[in-house]
Amino acid sequence: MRRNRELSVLVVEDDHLVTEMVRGMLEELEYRVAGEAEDGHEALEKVRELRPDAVIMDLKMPRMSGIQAAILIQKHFPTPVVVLTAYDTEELREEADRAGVGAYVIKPPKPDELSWAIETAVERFGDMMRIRQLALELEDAKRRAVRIASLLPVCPSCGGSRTGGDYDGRLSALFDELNSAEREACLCSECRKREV
Amino acid sequence: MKASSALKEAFRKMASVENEHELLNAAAMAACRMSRVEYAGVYAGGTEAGELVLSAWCGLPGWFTSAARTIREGVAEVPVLNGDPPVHASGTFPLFAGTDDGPFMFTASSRQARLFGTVAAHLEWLALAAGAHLLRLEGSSALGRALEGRDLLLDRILDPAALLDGGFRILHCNRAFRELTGFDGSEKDPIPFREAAGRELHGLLKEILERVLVSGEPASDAVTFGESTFSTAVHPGPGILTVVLRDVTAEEDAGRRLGFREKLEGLLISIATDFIEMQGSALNLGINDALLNIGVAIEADRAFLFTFSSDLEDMSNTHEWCASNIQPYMDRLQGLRTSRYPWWMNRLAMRETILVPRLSDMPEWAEAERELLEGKDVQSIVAVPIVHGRDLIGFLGFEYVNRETAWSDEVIDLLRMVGDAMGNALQRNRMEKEMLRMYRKAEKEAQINAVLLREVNHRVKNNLSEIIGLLYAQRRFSNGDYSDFITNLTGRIRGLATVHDMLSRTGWKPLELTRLARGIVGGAIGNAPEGKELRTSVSSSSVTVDPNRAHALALILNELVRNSMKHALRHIDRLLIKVRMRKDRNGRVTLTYSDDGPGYPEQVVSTERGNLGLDLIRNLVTKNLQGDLTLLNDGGAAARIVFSIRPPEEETIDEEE
Repeated sequence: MRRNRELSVLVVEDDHLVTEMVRGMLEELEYRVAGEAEDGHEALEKVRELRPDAVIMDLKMPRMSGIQAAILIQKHFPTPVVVLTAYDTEELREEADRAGVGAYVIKPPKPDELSWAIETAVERFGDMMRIRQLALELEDAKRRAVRIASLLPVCPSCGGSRTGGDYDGRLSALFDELNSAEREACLCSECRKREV
Repeated sequence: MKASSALKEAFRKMASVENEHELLNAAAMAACRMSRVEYAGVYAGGTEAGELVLSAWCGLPGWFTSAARTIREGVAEVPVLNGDPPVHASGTFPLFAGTDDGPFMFTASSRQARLFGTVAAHLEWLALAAGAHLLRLEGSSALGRALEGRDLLLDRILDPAALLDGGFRILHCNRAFRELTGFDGSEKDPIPFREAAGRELHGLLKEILERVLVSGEPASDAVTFGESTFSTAVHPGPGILTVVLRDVTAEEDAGRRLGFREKLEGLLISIATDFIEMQGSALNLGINDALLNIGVAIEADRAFLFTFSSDLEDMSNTHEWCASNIQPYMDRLQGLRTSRYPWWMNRLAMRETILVPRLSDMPEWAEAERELLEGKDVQSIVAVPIVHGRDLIGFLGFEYVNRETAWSDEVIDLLRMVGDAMGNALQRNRMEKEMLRMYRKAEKEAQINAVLLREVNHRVKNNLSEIIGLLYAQRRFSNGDYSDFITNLTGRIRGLATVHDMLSRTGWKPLELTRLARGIVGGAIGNAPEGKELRTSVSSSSVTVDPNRAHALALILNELVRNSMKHALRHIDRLLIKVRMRKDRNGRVTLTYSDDGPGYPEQVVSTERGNLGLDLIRNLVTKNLQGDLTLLNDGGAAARIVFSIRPPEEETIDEEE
């Protein structure tokens, strides 16, 4: 896996010595430590303030747990999150997965495990963002298809005409909204030749 | 002598005699004077064996009077006997007209010859005259024996019996009847049955007597008179009714006892069978059912079960059944000290049945027991021990409140068997409960161990992470001296090991701060450099801290002690370390660490700059404890740490955040 050494990472951990460990490893791996936070609440503040490329976060912390913080981060400031914890249970892994956590690492990690987790979380996050974008585009395409179908001149059920009212006006408004590919698909063969 | 003259003479003679023997002799003598009559005799009277006796005779040879001394009643024929001289009966003549089975006179001769004509008629008259004079001699022995014979016949019946006429008057009755009714039977005239038998018995028998009289058919019925039950049989006869009252009380009692025993045995089998499968609440219901069923069967007023504690020090009434209108006492009989009831306990200890038909039967030293029973209005009680193996588990008891009662052996045997069945069931239930308790305990311990194991795993991983963190921090502050690096690192890892040891010993439960401080600070004494003296003083406090805070505090104290030993002891030979702690109302704890050394350099106090140790202390206080640290010089180096022992409030996901 290609390592992106430009990434900035926020360390969220309530144990100072563990923070020292993570910080030391990140520096060895040549990641940039964007900052430190001691609980989930502070993590949210720091993500908003520092906009790190990734967050390494403990699960058990005072005030707000890592899971709660991950949910809020994904909701308000979508950022790749790596969980670093001494607890390893299936339930916690599933809970973290549902909260949008990209990777789950057990303490103490080997440096390459930590690196792999950061890169995986970042890649998964990218994939997730792309999927989200595609989903949005798909929703938009579906909406436009319905709109175009609503302007068909003949009813597919009874064969009656649907060109009454301000049909020309609605058609014209739709043409104005079409992108170039859609517009080309709508042209008659003569016009297409002429435009091409 | 002419027959008629002999007859007249005989009539005169018979009219003058005043006893039976002379009368019958006169008749026999007169008969012998008739022509062709060689011998004559009279069979009369009667014996208990139902025989007529040759009461008088004339001319009969001795062998005959010996051999034919008696004949069976009702035969009215003289037996033919061959002797010397021979005796051939030639006629029999009843003494009472129309009767063929009563006393009679006979004539005989040594030749076979029939009597007929006038002689036979004269002999018949003679016999009837003798009978008439017998009636005259009402008090004569012949009639007396005859009447007595009937009485003897009735007396032969051991059950009360009476002979009534059609008007329900008593003609005869036996001794048993007289004893039953109190009727003396001395009256000569027939007495109405109602008067003789009394109103009660007459009332009981009136219907059956009338029924038999009307129908002419025998009938029987059962009546209870006094304390006995009688099977009454009434037989009709010509103008008479025979009444026999057969006492069936014993049979009834035996039948009742047999039925009762069968019922109890059925109950026992049912209870014992049910108890095999019962456990838990079903067993309680089963015991209650058993108490009810047995209580009803033996007509007790109260049935109960007591069980002992395992050390036999206490006993409690665990189950109770009461008949209607009987007050329950179970709630008041809980946790009784067995030592208060020595008589009772002694009997049970010897596995004896406690049988008290009357409370007055109890010995004087059973005062407490009597008091207890009197308090429950008990008049009679039986209790059987409930034993399993050698263990006395409890006792099963039945009480009578309204009467004193004797208990039969068979009832007691059956109650003991029920007690055994209950004992087995109770013991099995106890063992099952104990097994369940042990299983749950083991299950709980396994769960705790699983949690502990998870916690250990977590702690080990965290400690390893912290060691790695220490290495990174140590490297960051390293001056290149590896000896110094290793010494410092070893001291810090040892500090981690100490706190891990303390927390794992208490199972990662909250730890007393005093104990923690004494463990860390006291442990440092042994590490004092040679020639230097280190003393410590840790105040007492009841403050406890959770494992995470304890962990951080242990590391902080370890760094403070290391700092004192490294810097203060460098200049002096004796050092006193004090740790003081107090908690305010808001749950905030102030822990003050101080030594009596030369104190911190000024730049440490004013600029917060320092070495790795102070950096660690500062970060552990602010990050791990979420607290405040103040370093100051107060007669030496001092550090004041203020933190809260209350867990920070959890923040929930706020959608608006």
